[in-house]
Amino acid sequence: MNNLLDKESNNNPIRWEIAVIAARAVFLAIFVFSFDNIVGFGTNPYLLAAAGILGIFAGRAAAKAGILPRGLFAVAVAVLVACMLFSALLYRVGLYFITSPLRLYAFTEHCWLVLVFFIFCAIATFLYWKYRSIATVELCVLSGACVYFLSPHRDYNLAAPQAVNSLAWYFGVSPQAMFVICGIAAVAVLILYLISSSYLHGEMEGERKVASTSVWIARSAAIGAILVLYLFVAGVGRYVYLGYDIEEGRTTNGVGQGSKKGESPLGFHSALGTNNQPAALVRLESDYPENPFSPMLYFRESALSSFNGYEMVIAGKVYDADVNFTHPSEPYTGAEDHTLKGRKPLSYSVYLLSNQKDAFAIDYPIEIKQIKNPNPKRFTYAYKAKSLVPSFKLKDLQYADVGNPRWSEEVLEHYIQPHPDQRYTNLAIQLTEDYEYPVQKILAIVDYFNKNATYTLTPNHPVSKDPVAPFLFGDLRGYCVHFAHAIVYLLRAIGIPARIGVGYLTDLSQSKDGHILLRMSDRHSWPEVYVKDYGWIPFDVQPENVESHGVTDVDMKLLQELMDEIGPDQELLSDDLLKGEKGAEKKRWQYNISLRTLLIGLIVLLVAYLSAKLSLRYGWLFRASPAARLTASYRALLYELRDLGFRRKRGETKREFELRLAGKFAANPLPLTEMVIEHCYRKPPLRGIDIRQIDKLREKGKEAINSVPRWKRIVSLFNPLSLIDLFSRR
Amino acid sequence: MRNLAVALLIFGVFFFRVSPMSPYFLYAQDGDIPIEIGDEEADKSKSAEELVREASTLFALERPLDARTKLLRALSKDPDNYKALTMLSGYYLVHVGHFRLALKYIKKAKKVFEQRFGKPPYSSEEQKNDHSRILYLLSEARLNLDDYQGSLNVLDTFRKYYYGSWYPGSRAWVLMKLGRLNEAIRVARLGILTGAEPGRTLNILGILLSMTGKRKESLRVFDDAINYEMALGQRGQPATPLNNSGEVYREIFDEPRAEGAFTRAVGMPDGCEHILPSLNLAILFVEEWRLERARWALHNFTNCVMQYPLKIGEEYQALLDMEMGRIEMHSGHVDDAVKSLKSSKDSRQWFGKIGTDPDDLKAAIYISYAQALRASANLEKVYRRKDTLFRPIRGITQRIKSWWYFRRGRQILIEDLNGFEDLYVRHTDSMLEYPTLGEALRDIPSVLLERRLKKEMESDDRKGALPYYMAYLGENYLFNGREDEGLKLIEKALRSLRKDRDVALRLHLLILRAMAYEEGSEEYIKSVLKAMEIGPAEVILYGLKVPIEVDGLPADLVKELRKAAFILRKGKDERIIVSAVPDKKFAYSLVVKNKIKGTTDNIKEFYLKTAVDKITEAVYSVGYSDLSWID
Repeated sequence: MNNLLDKESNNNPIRWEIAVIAARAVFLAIFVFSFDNIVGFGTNPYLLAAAGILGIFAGRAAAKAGILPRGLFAVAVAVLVACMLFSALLYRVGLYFITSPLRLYAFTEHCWLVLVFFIFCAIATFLYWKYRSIATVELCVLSGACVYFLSPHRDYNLAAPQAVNSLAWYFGVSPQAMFVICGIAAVAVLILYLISSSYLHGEMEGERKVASTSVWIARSAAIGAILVLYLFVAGVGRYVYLGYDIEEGRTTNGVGQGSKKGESPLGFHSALGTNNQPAALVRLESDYPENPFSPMLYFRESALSSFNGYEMVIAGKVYDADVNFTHPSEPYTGAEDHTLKGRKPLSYSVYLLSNQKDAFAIDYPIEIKQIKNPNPKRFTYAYKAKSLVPSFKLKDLQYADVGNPRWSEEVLEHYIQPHPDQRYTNLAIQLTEDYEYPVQKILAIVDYFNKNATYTLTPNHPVSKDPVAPFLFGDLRGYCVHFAHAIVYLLRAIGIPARIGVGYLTDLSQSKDGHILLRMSDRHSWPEVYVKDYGWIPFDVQPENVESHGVTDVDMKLLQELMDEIGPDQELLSDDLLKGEKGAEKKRWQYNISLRTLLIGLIVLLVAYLSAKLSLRYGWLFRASPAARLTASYRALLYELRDLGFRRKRGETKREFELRLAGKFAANPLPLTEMVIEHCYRKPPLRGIDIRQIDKLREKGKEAINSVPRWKRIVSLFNPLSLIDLFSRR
Repeated sequence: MRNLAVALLIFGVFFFRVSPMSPYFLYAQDGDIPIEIGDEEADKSKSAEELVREASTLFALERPLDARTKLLRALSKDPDNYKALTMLSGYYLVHVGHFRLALKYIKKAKKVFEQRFGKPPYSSEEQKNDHSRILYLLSEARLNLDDYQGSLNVLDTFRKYYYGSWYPGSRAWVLMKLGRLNEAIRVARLGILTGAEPGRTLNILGILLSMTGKRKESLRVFDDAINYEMALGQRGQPATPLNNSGEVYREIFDEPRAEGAFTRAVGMPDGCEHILPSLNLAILFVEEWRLERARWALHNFTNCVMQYPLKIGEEYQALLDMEMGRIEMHSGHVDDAVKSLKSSKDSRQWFGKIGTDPDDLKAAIYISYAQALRASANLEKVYRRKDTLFRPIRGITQRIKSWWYFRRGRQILIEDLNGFEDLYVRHTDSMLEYPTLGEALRDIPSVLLERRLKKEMESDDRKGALPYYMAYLGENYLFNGREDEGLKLIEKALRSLRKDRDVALRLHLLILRAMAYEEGSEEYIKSVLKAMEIGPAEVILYGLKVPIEVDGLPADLVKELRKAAFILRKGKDERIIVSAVPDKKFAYSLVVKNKIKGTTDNIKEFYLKTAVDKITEAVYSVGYSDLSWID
């Protein structure tokens, strides 16, 4: 064992001590209040933090007093056993005085928790000072705690942890940025703690004198390594984050973003998994009970109607004139097609939370215009849109024809351009041969996928010239990109005009107050068919077999926060309106110190104080070596005398002090002085001290002190001067 | 045509019984049926007053989003239009359940109103009406935010200047929330005499009487309330008094009547406006171990509440998740149970309109969550396939968390709920699961629990409650070194249970009895097999093992089965037999004959540990949510 404090007199590590004690106290306080905020201790957290901090000081004092670890553990166990016995006694006795016996139990539960905090912190601190390796263990635990605390963010669940989210809202930065800031702050604090610990231990061990240059190099290298590691992790994190960004084209379910003619935003091998990153908030301005796809709502961003020999790509406005293809900041006015049946206007506002290149809109947008961004720190753009949305009933389509009679031959050719592979035609004919009407045929094809295909984000098909063939003629495992392509190819093979719509699909049942939170996992592609008189209509697949799905429940807390963000501004409804409203106050982080809390605190303080005092007076009991026992015994007498009001004056030698006291007591209260001087100043130190002799002399001193009236000695137990001396000792 | 529409509208409003204080139709006038509701251009030329009137009409036509848009447009024209502010407050209060925002709007409305017309009293009838409406909404918003004193203060102001038929009911309710029961009863009785809304006031009086122990009288009052509401036909709201009378019947252990009342409540048009009837029905079914029926009751509610898509769920989600989590746990779907209960724990629940306390729910959720974590840890222990490095760590973490939540639940029950008032079995305010509550009381020192239960038993005259108290004490003794006394009490409690009603408690007691005996002993096996007949999943979730017989199984499988949740015995004519079936395609082709359930399951598997887990699932009907492998 390398007791670091034995050599402290050679150095002056006090500044590092303060830094370390402060850091430990801060960590403890953060832990207590965070944990209380998340789970709730049930016991006042101030009390727990105070007990813990007291434990830190007690542990430090115990280490400084040179108590053996086994001694400390013995004390801790003894205290716990004593408390158990005390509790049992209290239960028996308390029943005669207290009408509600269970309250007695609840009270002792609080005391237990406070005591556990105190003892745990005391032992941890004691061990920290005794063993250098404990600092490393503590750092590992703290790092693990930080990772655990911040890990809910991994799933792009921006409201978790709530504390990070709240900070992000407060400072007006994105939750991701705040997440990174918190991570950096945590690493910085841990590094500082590591440096403080390292210096403290180093100085105590005299490293500065021995090998200051090599220690400096080692420390710098360690810090450098940590920073490199951190940058590496941050870099990987950034790379992964970008991987989920719609701009990069690799997204949750393979639906990226793009509006360039001849390109496709869709990927057959790029579905990355679950991603709840919010993309936009939509607010419906009107009721929409007529939605035939209820509860689903399709937001189209672009359409893919050209076949380039490999996949479906964007044809642009020449063919798909009903799609806006505009930036969210650009105004758009669509030509209203009055020949379309079963449509009604619907107004809504969109508040983008991501870097969306194109504005998206429900079905046939007739107007898009930018509106004031309620919070530019939160939203990238905001626009208001009006669309002609479906209000027909699906059964109305049953016998309808497909295609637009006003299309030219060229346009019709464009929309029915088939895949050259004959297998598509064969399959399409096979699936639809029993049906007469086009919509029935469409439904037969969609139904084939519903029943036989499996939705999975990991289809793992080999890369081939036709990425759809391994899906359609293979295992029928894929995601929306595969389904949309396969259905469009099959429909075109039997002469039905079809294209792929790209954008967001949302489940209205998760909306609140007409507000819908679109996430990255809601990005979707779907097949669309032009039904005569009704226009482009989605005929989407809903496979019965779902192996993995990127969609999870909407985070309602986040939705509500965002709703509040776009709600009436401060001019109309200021926060002052809720001032003094008890019900509207946030209840967390508000603690009242009750009488019970004060009582528990007082008891704990008393127990801790008396434990510390007794450890000073009886610390010698735990010293095995004669030298340590001699010092501890001498100090025990000194502390007791100090509490009785006798103190060595400045400049007074030990021997002079002994002589002065001898005159005041019937016998010499410090008979160990001679032996201590011999032991401390003699070089080489005195060997072969007899423990029995030390004990005998200490007993003599104690007898002399006992000549002081008993009441004075009892009162002296509550005199804190000896403890103050202990902490002010250099 | 337009007049006809208005007539229909007014009739509709009356027909659907919008409260006289409802902000929705008050400003509608003849000729207010808007033609192009969502047309922003047309709205530009309209005044704020016109828009407010149109919004009133839209609310009555059940088009709340259109109405909200109109009101916001009205406010953009005139930010100080207190009528628009009042209506928006009502919208967020009733349709959305966003009470904080509702409070903001109504406070702004009050401020604007008082700036314009000064402090009350007012001379004009219109001003009086508007002011009384503002006070009504303010008191409701505060009530919903659990600020009972604040709500009462507003009601005091209201009383100074006005009278409304809703007032006695509201005041009695707030007083009840503040624990001033006798005063509340006085107010409610006076209200009935002065002709206040009979249905509502009678209902509140019934609740108050049941809270003060006058159960027979309260049932009579509830009957009056039900009859009154029924007499109103489609306009009536009988679900609430029906639910309350059901709660009283449940409290007096008259389950058939309780079930009847809850079932009727759920079937009423207003049956899912609140979750309580469905929740109570589910709780009743769980106590009788009719888990599928309980699940049905909650699904029924979920389907029904879909008709209110604007609600943000703070009125029911936590309660729904809690009960669903319990059902999943008892059915053996532990993963789903933990997920559901965690979600319940993290959800926010408003209590203003529910006669229970937030702490009641918190304690109930914590205890159920702790039970689910304990169940998960026990299952983790016997699942062979999940034999990873982290399994022991996960198990330990779950046990620590379980201990912690039991501790917190107990703490809340004792400290925040009047010295554990919920210990009174089937307390109408409580959300606890009484048959398994004993598990949470295990850690209380016997000497203290004894004293507390003695007090409860002395004051409780209900015969049906006695086995519960005995069970709690017995369980406590069992886990505090007084096994013999505990066992005696458990046996006594088992003997005094009713056959078809206290099934959940019977199951729990059988499990406790099995725990008291040495594993594999005759008494142990007798208890475990009886428990298996009721709820096989519970057996494994409490860490018990069932005896099975194996026939022709390979040695490695037998060895692995011993490590799992089974006691292997030979020649005892066991009721569960696992035998091998020759099949070259699979390494393990097995048949599990379960005479207890009367089922036969075929298991075909390549891997040893997966085969063992499949046997566990087949025998105990348990499973992680992602596993559904039984053929």
